[in-house]
Amino acid sequence: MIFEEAWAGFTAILVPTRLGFMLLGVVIGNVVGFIPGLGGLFLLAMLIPFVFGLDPFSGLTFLLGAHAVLTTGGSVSSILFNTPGTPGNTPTLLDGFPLTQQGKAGKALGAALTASCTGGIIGAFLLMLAIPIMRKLAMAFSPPEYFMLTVMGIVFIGGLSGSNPIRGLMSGLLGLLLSFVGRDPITGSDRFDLGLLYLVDGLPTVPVVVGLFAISELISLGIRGGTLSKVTRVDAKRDVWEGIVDSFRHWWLIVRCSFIAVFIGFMPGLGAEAAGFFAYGHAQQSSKNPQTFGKGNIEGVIASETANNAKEGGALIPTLGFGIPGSSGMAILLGAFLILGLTPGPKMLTDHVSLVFSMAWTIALANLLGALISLVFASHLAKLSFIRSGLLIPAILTFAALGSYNATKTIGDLITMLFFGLIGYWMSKHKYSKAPLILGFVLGQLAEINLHLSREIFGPLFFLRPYSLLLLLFTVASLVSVIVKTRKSRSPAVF
Amino acid sequence: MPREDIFVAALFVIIFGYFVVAVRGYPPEARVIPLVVAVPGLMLALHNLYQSINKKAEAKRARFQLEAAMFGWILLLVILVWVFGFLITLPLFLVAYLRIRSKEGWRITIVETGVILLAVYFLFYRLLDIPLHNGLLINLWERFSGV
Repeated sequence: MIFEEAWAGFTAILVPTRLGFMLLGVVIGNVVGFIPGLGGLFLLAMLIPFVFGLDPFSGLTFLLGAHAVLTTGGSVSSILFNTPGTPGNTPTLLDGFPLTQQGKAGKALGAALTASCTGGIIGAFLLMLAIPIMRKLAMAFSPPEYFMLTVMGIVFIGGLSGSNPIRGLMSGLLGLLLSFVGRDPITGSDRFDLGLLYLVDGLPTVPVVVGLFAISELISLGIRGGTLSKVTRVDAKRDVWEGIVDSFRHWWLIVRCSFIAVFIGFMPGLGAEAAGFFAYGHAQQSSKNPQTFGKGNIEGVIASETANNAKEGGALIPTLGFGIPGSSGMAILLGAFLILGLTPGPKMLTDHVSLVFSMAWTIALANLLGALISLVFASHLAKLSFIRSGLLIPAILTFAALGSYNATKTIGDLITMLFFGLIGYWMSKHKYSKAPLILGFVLGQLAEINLHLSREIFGPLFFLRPYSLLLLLFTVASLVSVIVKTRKSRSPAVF
Repeated sequence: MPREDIFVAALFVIIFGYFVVAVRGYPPEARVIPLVVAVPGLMLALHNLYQSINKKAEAKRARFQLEAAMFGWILLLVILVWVFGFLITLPLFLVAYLRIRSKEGWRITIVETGVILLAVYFLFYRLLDIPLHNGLLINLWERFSGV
């Protein structure tokens, strides 16, 4: 029965018009993902008006096709320009950009695009497998488990701190504090906003990330001169192929990161952006050469990009099964479902199962198309890393400024970008790792909200719940592993 | 560089100190988690500052000048956008940067400026329909002219 529904879902999207809408969505998603600052929310908000009047299958292939490949496009700007196309692409630049500086942009792109495609396909298949057990899965987790997961993510900070744990920990703690800027979601108090209206809703993610990574790198590049790549020109096409092969060589890493990402994406309120960081942290901890992370280890690129695309399958599970969006992008997609005459929830899993399978197949096919389209241009895009900085800087700066401005459409976004650009430059120069800061920033508020909810609902001993205890033990084991590895390797800071 | 190292270390002390002081006026529940984070952060920062002060070396003035120049260009972009908006600022800034900073010839300057502006126009104005900042002067002029 379930196989019949799966087949029906697959054949339903093979209609030429629906494939055409999917292809159009994939192209738009790739382009929007490439431009820093636009992101999934903007993309869906822009595309939703176009689905009025479309049949549900066409509307879904269009929207999901675009959304599924957003981070595929975003990986290109992360790798080439140290500017994450979407916040979820931030972990990719930790090793992707160093590879560009080593003249291996093609390799990084080849690996990233292949990992994105594979991760997205695995995520889609895991979604299909989860359909019969969605309800039980969702009921198993609640605020204590979410809190433990965020703590686990924050413990990964230690693994990203390199050889100076004190500075790494400071960076992570600073990131946590920055996440508390704005209105406290529990008591409604305005915290650390300096009396500015701009900060009442907290620091917007995009200008912070663009400033920390892109602007700081532009300052370095402007001082250093030369090109993004610090080595002479190489054969970009051969490099891209090498990256593709590398991705398949690390197939087991891709599988593990896909599972992690689907799990993270499945947790409503955990923040799908964190999937890439969790996968990156796992890749570093399980690597034979953890000290090379942050210096151009291809595993870091593969892990992050696999997770970015795989998480979409996970995020759809609570969205479709319960009408609870698994991410902010899914919240907008929920609105699109209603426009198309669909009502997500338990009934969807009984009355419209083939439609759910169609969505999963769409994600899989869109990832394949998106990667293929990007790979065609990858070797040409890689050549951008050999253009002299005097020409590249004004172009990148223009789009970084425009992308940052799009966060709240006020001049405060540019000031935030500039401020964090300076902070990021100083941090890089004086060997303070930036990765822990951004991870703390992404997870901080989630940790606080879930901690409060956990204490309110389950009391102070909430962590003794079975799954919470399991996660706590795993977190402690990870922490011990990080301490032991740090003492053994004494590697330099990631950034 | 070491003086800057001390400055950066001191900056962290100030930032963490601000968070510790700022929470005094908040309700207890809003205060507790930030304090749990900020107090250890402040202690670490003070230790780090002590370590930085003890380092020997001299600041490299030339590097500071290069950094200030690069930062100055980005600051100029932000100020120009604030005052004149994106539409007026982008072509002026691009030409100025390419000619003065990058020392490129007129042909490359005009071609690159044109390509970037076309891309911005097509993507942000036509395709994505994103309203861009008009600038302080234009907003003031619209307000006083009643437009």
